[in-house]
Amino acid sequence: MTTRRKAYLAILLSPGALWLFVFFVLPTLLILIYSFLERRDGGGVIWNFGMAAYLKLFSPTNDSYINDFLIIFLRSFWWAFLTTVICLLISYPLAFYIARQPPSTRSFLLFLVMIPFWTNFLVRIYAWKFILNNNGLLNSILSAFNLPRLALINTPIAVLIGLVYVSLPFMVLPLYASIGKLDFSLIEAGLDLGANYFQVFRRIFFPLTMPGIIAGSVLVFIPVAGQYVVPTILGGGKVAMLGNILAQQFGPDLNWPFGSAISVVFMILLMMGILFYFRIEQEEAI
Amino acid sequence: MKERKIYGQKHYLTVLLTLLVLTILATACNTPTTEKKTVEPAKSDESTATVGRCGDKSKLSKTLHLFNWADYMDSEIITQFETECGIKIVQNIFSSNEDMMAKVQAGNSGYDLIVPSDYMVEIMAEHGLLAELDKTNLPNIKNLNQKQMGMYYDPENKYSLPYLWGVTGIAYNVKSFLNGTPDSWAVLFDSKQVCEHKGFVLMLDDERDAIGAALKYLGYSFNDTDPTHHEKAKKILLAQKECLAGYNSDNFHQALASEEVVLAQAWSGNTTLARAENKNIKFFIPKEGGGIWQDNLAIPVDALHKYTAELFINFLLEPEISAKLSNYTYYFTPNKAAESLLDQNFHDLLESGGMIVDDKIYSRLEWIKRNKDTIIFSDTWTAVKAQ
Repeated sequence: MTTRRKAYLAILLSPGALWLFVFFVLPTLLILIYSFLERRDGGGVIWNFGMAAYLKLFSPTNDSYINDFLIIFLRSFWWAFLTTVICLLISYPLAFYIARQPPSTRSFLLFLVMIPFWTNFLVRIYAWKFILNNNGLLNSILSAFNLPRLALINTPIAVLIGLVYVSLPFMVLPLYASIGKLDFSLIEAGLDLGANYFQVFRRIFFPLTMPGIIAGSVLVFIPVAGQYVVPTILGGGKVAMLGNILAQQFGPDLNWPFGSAISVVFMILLMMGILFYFRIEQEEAI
Repeated sequence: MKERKIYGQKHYLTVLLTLLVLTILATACNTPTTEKKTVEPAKSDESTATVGRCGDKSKLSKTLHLFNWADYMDSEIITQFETECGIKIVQNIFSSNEDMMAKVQAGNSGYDLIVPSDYMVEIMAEHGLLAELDKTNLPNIKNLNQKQMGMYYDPENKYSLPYLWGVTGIAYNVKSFLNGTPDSWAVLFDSKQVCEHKGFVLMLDDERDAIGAALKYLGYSFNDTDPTHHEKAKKILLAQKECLAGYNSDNFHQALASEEVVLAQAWSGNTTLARAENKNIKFFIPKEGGGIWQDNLAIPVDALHKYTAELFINFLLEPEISAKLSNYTYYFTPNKAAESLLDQNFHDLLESGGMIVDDKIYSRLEWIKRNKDTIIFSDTWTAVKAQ
């Protein structure tokens, strides 16, 4: 590359790079630095470096090695995993169905998938609360048919329903994109050459739609792991997810270093998870 | 008034925003006429007796930026001030004291008047974020009730004047307590008593209120930071959680009014709101003691329109304006002169619902204070929420 082309490239890239630096690198660095500082009473930080926040995060409680923070971390990741799997199970057939429709129906169906985005997120979650309430829509319908009522609201199941509901479009759209690109003659070829449906799915369909699965899973898993509103409204605020303890640190507790430390650990864990995930995918592709 | 309205009010906010956009669109079509409308009354007022209320016109700004809690100001009051003095009030909403402080702390927030709660006044004053009030612009201070003045967070009311106040106790549905009226925190914390209403009980989703109440039940202070006491409180809260519907600081009054729950740790104002809809809802301050809080008017140190803000504070301290505010929000007014002007309907709701705070009850109330040791509440709360 000539120096002139290099300079040209640098000019072209600089707006994007600047954007990333100001809105991604700087804030992340700030969080990292804050996590090593000392809490200032009433908000802010004192510029004394130390590991206090991390020690607090990893110190065992008096009765077990698994402290409260670890429980909350594990719960967040477990629920995010469950949500991802359920979304995948629902979205895969749905995306397949949409992709196989004639173009006009297809765009209408996609439009239906995206409609919820037009309404405020909180309003939609509140709508679910009214559906799942003890005296809510679902239970009214059930009792109209003389069926037993379901005590769903304020339980982990209600949280999971809410999480799956808000995440579904993020799974459907990337899956649709990769299924839509699929060359269906490959499947016919596989069937002609004697593979059964399961083999065709496992050896042809699944690997070829892997990019969509990966993209969808990442898009679902990360926001869900940090969810804050759904457990509060549909779970009755009884059990916390990561988002809730983060909000607690930056809200009422005004403990910025500890909140930053939680974020840093969360980011590292997520990054490791995603790298691992991509790695598996690459190996499978080979 | 703490964080009680975050989500509940967002509905209204969305509706309000839509309405706002519509009004803007509507007014945009006939701008000249509306302009006239707002200007004219202001001019005519200049010649009338209200000159005093609008102060020295040469020092007034055109707009005043108010940073307030959701649903915490009667729009009629704003309109009245706007037409009388020709000042446009721009109101923005915050949902927690901490959010509000963060915005003011960042500097150049543009807000001229803020409404911090008690403990937040102390923190903000300590951080040098509040401007000293010029009392010569505030003759209506004389209307205020001495009982609500000179509190621990601002002993000389140098930075703040009370706006509204309320108490924290227990709300219940009389239909579920036919065998006797409850009078103690035991109804929430004695696991036998609370589990009689399993799945129909709410606690405030606030570490200081929820843990504080458990401490109070055990005979300690709301502000106790002794780890062994917290350990006991944690056990009680975890046992209680088995029988809770959930933790809710946002719209528990709706859940009470619709009889979705029958028992809840509650703020007096929201309970009055619930009672206005459902006459079975009553309130009491437990015999072990309850909480008291107060929201205040204060001016950020970098406010651009301090004089106008002080003028508006003085306007709010007029007896009939304070009464209007209290009638609208259902919270108690710190304005002594306003007490006789309150709606009979509001007073009846309070009286029949057990929300009246007489001297005897007042002596049982305790402020929630913050200092560097109260961080222990955070760990106790995480432990309660982790299980």
